[in-house]
Amino acid sequence: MAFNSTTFAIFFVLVYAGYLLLYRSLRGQNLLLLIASLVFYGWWDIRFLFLIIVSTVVDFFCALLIHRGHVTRRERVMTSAYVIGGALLLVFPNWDAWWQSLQANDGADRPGLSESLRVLLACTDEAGAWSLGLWTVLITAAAAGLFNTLYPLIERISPQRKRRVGIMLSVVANLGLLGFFKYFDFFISSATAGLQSLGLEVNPLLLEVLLPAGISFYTFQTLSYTIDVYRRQLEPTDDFLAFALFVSFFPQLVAGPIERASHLLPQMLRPRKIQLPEFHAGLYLILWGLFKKIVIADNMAPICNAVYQNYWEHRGLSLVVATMAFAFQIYCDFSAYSDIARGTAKLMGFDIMVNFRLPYFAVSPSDFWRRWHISLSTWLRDYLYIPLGGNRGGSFNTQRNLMLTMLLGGLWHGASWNFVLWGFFHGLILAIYRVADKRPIDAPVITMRDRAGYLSRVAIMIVLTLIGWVLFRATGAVAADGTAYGSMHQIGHILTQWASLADLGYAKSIGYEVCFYAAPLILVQIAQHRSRDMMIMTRLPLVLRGTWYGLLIAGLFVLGARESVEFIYFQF
Amino acid sequence: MSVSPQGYNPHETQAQDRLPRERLRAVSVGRIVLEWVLAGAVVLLVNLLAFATLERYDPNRFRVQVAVKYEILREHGDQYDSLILGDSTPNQGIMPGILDEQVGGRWLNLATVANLLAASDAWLLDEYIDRYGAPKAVLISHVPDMWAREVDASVISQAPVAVSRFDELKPAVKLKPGELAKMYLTRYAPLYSKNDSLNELLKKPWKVRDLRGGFDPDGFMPMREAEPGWHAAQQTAIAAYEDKSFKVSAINEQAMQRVIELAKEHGFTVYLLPGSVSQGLAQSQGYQGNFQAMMQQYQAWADASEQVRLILPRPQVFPDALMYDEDHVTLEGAKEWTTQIAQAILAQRSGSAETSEVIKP
Repeated sequence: MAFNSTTFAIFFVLVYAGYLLLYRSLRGQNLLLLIASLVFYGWWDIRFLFLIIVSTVVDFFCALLIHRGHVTRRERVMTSAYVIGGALLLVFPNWDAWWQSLQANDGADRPGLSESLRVLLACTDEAGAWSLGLWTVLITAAAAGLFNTLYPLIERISPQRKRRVGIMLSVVANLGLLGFFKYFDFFISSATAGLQSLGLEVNPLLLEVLLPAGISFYTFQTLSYTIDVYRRQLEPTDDFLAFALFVSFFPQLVAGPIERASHLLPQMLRPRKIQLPEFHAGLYLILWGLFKKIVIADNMAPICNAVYQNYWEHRGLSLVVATMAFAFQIYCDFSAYSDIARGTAKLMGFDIMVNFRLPYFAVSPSDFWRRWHISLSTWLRDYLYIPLGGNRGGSFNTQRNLMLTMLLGGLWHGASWNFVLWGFFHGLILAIYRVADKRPIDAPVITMRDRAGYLSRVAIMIVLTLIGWVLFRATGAVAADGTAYGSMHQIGHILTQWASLADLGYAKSIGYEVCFYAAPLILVQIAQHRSRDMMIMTRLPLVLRGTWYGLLIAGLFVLGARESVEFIYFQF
Repeated sequence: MSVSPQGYNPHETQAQDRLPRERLRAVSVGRIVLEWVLAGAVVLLVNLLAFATLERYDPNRFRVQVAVKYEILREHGDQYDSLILGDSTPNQGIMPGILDEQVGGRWLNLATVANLLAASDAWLLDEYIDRYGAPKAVLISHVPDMWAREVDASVISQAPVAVSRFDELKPAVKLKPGELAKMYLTRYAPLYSKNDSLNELLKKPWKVRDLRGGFDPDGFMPMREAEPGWHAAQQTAIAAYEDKSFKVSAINEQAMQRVIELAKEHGFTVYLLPGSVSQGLAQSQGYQGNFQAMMQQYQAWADASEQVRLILPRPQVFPDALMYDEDHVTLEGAKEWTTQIAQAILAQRSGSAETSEVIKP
């Protein structure tokens, strides 16, 4: 269920109405939001809900084990029931076959109740073997049983070891899920390619499983919870409902911001009050987010795709313009999701962290990373860069830590070498700037010379960011004759052909389109930058404000792309 | 990478303080309501502006075509005594001036677009008779794939008839509540329904022009140059015809019955003929199958009434040089096609017309 769909609009109105009706009951509201969040996520693929449930249960348990050294019988039974129930409800039924049987028998031949149940609850697959769903239920039940049986043994180990067992279990479970679903095939196929290049024949075992939407976001979010508890920076909660809601809170579940438990979890634990300024800002964030997604990002997508999918036919400026289109697309797409997430949360009295602060106004790579995907960059800082040693231990170690952090940050975005390369590129420019540019990020801009210096720094950073986006966007392409080109060929072609003056006519035509759709964003961002206020448009005089909102709504109708494009960050 | 507490960037604190922040304003419920009411009013105002602009500068040629035809009928219909009806093929393919000269009378081209179905022929004819009495002759031409089409409320709403009157027209269009809403939206909410045209106007305002100037006073729309790249569209049309089997939808059947009824009642002749087609499309099997079925249907209507005559009962094929696209002719093609039509009408009148036998399977 995407934010820019009618389904979500109806869903949110219903959930919000229920939420307001339950204003006297915190547990009632939390339960409603948890169910809504599971429905929201299950809309893509109901089976993957099970992964969220596993992640929730494991981290709830681990945090308690780390902090107080034991888990009560009630908590064990509750979490065991939740995870086994999840397997039974979500993974065991053959939802796909059941749905297909309904589609195939649309109308008079619709299958009866018993036939539907038979399809839905089949324990075997077409070959007669036990179905994956049945295996999942059995393994889950066995794991829960084993855990409850062995629990007394865990009770006996020392508190210090319990802490270590708890954190290890959490890290292994979360990164295990992420690694299995996101990176298994990538590493196997990369290793296979490496062995084959050495002349060794191997037949790789590829799983070819679907990537669960938002897995990178919620695993990082829950991981930060157990790590914070382990570091004694946070007290875990024993309110399982509130914790389950923290993990699966629908506004930011699929594409962030990656929230910290210290910020979001307390909001699940105490009654929320909907404040008027927050409500007011929330409405605007939703509207502005929809505008950025539907009008800007979705109109930039075809411009960029047309060039990148046939990049070998283009030279010079058209490649630059297409990359600029992608820069606008990815920023508007991702920041729109964050805006809508934050807006819907604000309407319900929640506060979610700001994820973008005008990244294209950055003057250096480190400035860029404090403005772009802030929830991820701060996560990597706190849970990777600093544990690696941060900037302690001399220049070499600092540069190494930076590079490792950025490489893993790149890999976080996707199981593909171009993302690793993108991370490497950002690590490299961070390192170079660290050595070569000692000017303060926020040097005062007073004289004309300051201004020129500031603008040149921003311009250089924009060029570097665009080069980074080439690496990020280069996922390869297939020509009409079936020839497949890899990322590296694409990157090589695009970066070496930038300077060519060919293709001017086409560049002019797509350049105009890019300027046309980006103009409102640029104007708003200049106002935001000058005022240093992200909500400057909500501070306009009433008449101007109403007019601006009206124009945004009219813009959604008139300029909104009819072909909806899925949010880019869903794939991460 | 963001700044670490250990401060790998020494300007962290200063920089963090100077990053743009979210500053929320104090606001009252009344102010929130007022600003959103104002936003709604702006949307309505923009909608009105869009409505007025599109009245004059709609870049959608088909919508302008329909509006222009009704306008000519209502304002200048009294100057004409014979009508050309049908879809866009006769709109830009049959020249009233040539028929005036060669056949006699004062011909008016009221052909609209295929999506308005044959219903539009019947409605225009009815309105003409209501206003000015019976015409001397009516010429109707359609492409084969028009006959199977059903009512689409948003397209039908282009006919400038009061929404409440659609169920009084003959043939009547009975709209379900959802379709009625769609019709109102199409007509009165251009922000929603004509967003592509508005997008085009906003994006390229220097290209704005009044397309009404593209019509002759007698309703003919001359197209001087071929559509660039129409051969690619021809391939799409060929593929589309492969999947189609000819049939006449209920509304089209009712429309033709209404035309026949009026012809009988008022004693004028209705000439039926197929629409123009390119050589490439005419040679395709899909088109040929549909064409033959259409001609049999035309013959059935002609057999049912003395007032209905079938002329030029073969594919109206023209060389690519005379085609605007796969089923429309250019001005030069129009001259040739209209001359053939004039000769066919004259031959009909003198009793020496070619029969439809040639097209029977």
